[in-house]
Amino acid sequence: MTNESDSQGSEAPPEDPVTLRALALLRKAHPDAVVDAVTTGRHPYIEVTADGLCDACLLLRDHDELLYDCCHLVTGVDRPDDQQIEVVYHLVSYARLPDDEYRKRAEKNDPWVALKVRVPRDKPEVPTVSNVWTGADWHERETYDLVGVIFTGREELRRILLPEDWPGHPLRKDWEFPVEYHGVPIVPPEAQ
Amino acid sequence: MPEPTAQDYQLDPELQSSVILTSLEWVKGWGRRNALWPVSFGLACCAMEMMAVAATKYDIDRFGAGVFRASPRQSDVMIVAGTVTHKMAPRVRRLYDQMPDPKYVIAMGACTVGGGPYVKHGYHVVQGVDLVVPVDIYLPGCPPRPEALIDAFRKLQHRISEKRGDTLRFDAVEKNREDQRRKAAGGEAAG
Ligand code: SF4
Repeated sequence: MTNESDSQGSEAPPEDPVTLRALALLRKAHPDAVVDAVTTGRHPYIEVTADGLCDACLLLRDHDELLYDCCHLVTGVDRPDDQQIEVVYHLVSYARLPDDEYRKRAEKNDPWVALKVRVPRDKPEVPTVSNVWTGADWHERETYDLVGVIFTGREELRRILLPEDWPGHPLRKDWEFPVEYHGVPIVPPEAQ
Repeated sequence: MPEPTAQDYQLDPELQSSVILTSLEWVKGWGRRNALWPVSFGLACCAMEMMAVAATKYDIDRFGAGVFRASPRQSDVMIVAGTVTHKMAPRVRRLYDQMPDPKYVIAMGACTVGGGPYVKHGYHVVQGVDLVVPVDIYLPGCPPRPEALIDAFRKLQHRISEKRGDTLRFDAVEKNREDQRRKAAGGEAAG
């Protein structure tokens, strides 16, 4: 669905070898974990189940042919139409930079493989990956702070950017501006 | 009325060349405006321009405002340089409260003047630092050039020598807050 603009004429758009390789190995090791995958276009991704996320991440990190040693970002997308929240992980590999195919993509600036997890909006619980990549810790706190995703199985899920007593999670589509915060009035965008 | 000169008091010529007559207020203003010590703190990109102003090329020290103090207790003027977030606002207020009187505030940059690029959808930005502290000089720009900050300092110096100050928006907000407080207190008493 994301690749219409990239396809030229009736030719099938080129598949992304980096995502394909990860997908094949994932399907082999954890067939139940993979829900869906888009392997063409500018934003290929692999969608996994929340339960299978940790297994998938460990495989991506530790498999000799994958070696994704760095969690580049964790972010959340609110999709109220589907009543879902999407959590996106971008993984990059520094260990694989000598690998030609990987480097060719890295030179085009999109060296990552993207994982997605979809969870229901009213119970957005996703297992943590901060024990797989320590660097994911603050990303998870940020995603909790702004989108309200609950990461389970980790310590200390508290806000990282906004003040502790901030009302709600502002990147939810239905978040409303408070009238004031600690005595400072706020004019919401509708009223401007 | 023009300032009285030595002539008006018919002093003898000897004294006329060695005595200066003026008002104490004027001397105080003169001292104040020529030794404005800013608090050294910056909040975002605008702080870069503030640093440029303090460095050799623009050298705000020429106007006596180059001694950036690391403590608000030794400062006269606060340059709020950058985006004031709701998380930061109480800290800005506290710094302001810690400065000794007389104190002045320059709101530097579009963010500080009124929310800047974040005014509409930025849930985290205070829509003008004048909702938090009274502002003497508004300096728009994103970021303002160093020359503009020097100009703001010169305007502030004029203001100090004219003993002028109007902090309308802050006063209005304060009054509103006071009204609300009174209403709440009254409501409790009635209830
Ligand atoms: S006014 Fe512009 S330059 Fe200054 S803090 Fe805001 S965004 Fe940065």
